[in-house]
Amino acid sequence: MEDWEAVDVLLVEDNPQDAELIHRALKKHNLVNRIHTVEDGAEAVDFLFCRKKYADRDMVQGPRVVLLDLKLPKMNGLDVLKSIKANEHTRSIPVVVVTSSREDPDIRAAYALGANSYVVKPVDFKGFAEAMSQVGLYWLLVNQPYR
Amino acid sequence: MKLRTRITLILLLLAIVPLIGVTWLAYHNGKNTIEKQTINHLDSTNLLKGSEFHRWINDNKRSLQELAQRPLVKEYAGILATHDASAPKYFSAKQDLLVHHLGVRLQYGGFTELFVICPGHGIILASTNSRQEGKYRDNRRYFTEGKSHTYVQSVYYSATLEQSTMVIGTPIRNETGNLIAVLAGRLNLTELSNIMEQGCSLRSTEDTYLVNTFNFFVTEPRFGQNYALRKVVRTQGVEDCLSGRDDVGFYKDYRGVPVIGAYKWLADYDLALVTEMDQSEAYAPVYRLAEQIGGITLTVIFLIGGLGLFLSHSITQPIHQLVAGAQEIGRGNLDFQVRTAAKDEIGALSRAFDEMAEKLRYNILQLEASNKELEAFAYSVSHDLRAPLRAIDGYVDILKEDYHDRIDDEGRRIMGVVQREAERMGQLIDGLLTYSRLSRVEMSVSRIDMTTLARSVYHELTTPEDRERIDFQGDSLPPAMGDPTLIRQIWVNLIANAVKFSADRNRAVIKISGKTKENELIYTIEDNGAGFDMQYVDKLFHVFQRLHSSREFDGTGIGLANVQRAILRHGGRIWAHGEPDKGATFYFTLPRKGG
Repeated sequence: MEDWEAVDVLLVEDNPQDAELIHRALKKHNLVNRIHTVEDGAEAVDFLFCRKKYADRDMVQGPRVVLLDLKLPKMNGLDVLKSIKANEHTRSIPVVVVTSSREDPDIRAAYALGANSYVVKPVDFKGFAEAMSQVGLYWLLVNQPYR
Repeated sequence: MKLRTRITLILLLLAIVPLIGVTWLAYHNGKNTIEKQTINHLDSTNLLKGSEFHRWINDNKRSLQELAQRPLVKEYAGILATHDASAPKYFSAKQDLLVHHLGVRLQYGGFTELFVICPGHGIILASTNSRQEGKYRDNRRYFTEGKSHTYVQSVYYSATLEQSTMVIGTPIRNETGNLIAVLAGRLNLTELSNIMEQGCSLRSTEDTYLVNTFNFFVTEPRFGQNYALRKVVRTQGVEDCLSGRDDVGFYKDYRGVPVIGAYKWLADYDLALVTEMDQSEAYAPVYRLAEQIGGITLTVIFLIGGLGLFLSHSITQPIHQLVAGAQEIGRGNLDFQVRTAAKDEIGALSRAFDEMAEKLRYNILQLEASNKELEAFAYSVSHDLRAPLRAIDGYVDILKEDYHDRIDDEGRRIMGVVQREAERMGQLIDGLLTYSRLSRVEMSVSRIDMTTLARSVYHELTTPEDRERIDFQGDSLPPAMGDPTLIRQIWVNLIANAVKFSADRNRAVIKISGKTKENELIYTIEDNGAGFDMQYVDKLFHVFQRLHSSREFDGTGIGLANVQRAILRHGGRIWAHGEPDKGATFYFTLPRKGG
């Protein structure tokens, strides 16, 4: 439990309502102190590689897990995933794909590109919050990243 | 039968049937003509030989009569008949008679022996064959009859001479008409045989001979030696002739060879005159004709057969191309074109086929495109519809959690309705997604144990309390070939329906059965639930069509549409029977070999 301060989630989600609800679910279970939300793929890449307005961010500061929606403006989720897994510094960051449907053909593509897990956003938000916190717990606490 | 074989056979038939008809006619007519000709020929030969025989006899008769009327012959015969052999007159008279008259006559031919018989005792007074002299001939017909007129005794076998013989007797009379002696001439039968043989070419098998009433040959037949009065002949023609008939016939001759024979009864001499010719020789031209026609027929058959094969090949070749094209298109190669240059009907058909294929290709491409668009549309619509629903549900949750104490009971009820409806809409979207997925997913067919599948689906869909209430029967269903996910979807929907619509029964019965019929597997699921009115049966399998209100039974109206889609994808059918408040029965089929 001494690692709390290090927990850092990057949430890539263009829908502000979904973002707020995910944020709330994670906070509610006291899993994360710091969540950073970006609204499109391009900004996600900027954040991860400390470019443009994130230029003064230290890459060593995480994030420890990325929650990635696949349907994004500008640069879509798969491209973001590709960039993460292509770079040796970010390759080890676990990526959890967040999708609105289990039927999404992109899930398969995401796994092929190295996604670590996926979560379906249910209409029933309680279920979603539950799922989200399980995933968060697993990737943030149980699964020790290789640093 | 293949078109090619049929065309060839028809052509051959068309050629052969008339040819055979013509052949038969020609053969028949030819044979008839030749038969008539042969018969005419044999008949006339017979007539000719008959008249020659008569002439020969008559010539010899007249010659004998002329001899008998010579004054010197009369004088010598008178001396021989009235004087004793020792008288000096007797010897010179006999010498003169034999040397100058009978002997000279003998040299002209016709007779082999001439002799004078005494009219009193019938003793031979003088003969060109001296050994005959002094013998009695008083019982011979030529003597007894010859005393009064010229008489021809027909052929008989002479025991004394040990040969066949024919004798003419004629009276020698003085000026007053009194009988002096009888002059007899033994005819040369070799001449008769020669007459019979005359006129027959060497090649021909034509054969003329005489037969007497004892069936003995009188003259030598062409194909026998020393037959005369030694061999009997009992052929059909001879027997017929000996019974007194003149006719022609087809029979086997004395050699056993089939012949055509003409025969004539010579009543004056009790002889049968027979002229015969081998049938093989007579019919030789007909046989030659038949051989020629046969040769022509064979040639024609080969020619027509070749022509038929060529013709049918030229007809069926483009058809084969068309068939290959149709199969190619059937395999999915829509770009295939027959492209024929032929200007005939089959060429037109090929071009029409190409046009059709082109249109088909265009239509299929369009259909595929619009199908994809529709799927993408359905997918993204249901996808995007979920986001606001999540928001509605999630934010109502926030309201419930954070503003709990500031909302009254009515407010909380309303929030409940909002969340329930959002959830329902979510179910509708899920149903739509499944619906669009059913036509999209690739099928992987394997063998499915339907009994186990139906039972496990039933257990998944029901609680232990449900199972208390429901009498579920579903044993020994025949296994099916199909996509496990799709087949599972079918059972999920049908069993869920049966459970749902029989929920208000105290004792619900759900019965699943299956059987094999010809090439189909038929499965049935029957319940005793709410049922439906058969009036609306055609709406049952349409998307969003419901026969019950949401108040009565919850539902999206997509389940049965999904079932139908899954079954259709396997190549099966689905139908249903129902009665309000009595129950419903659903039937569906799957092909035995899988979709």
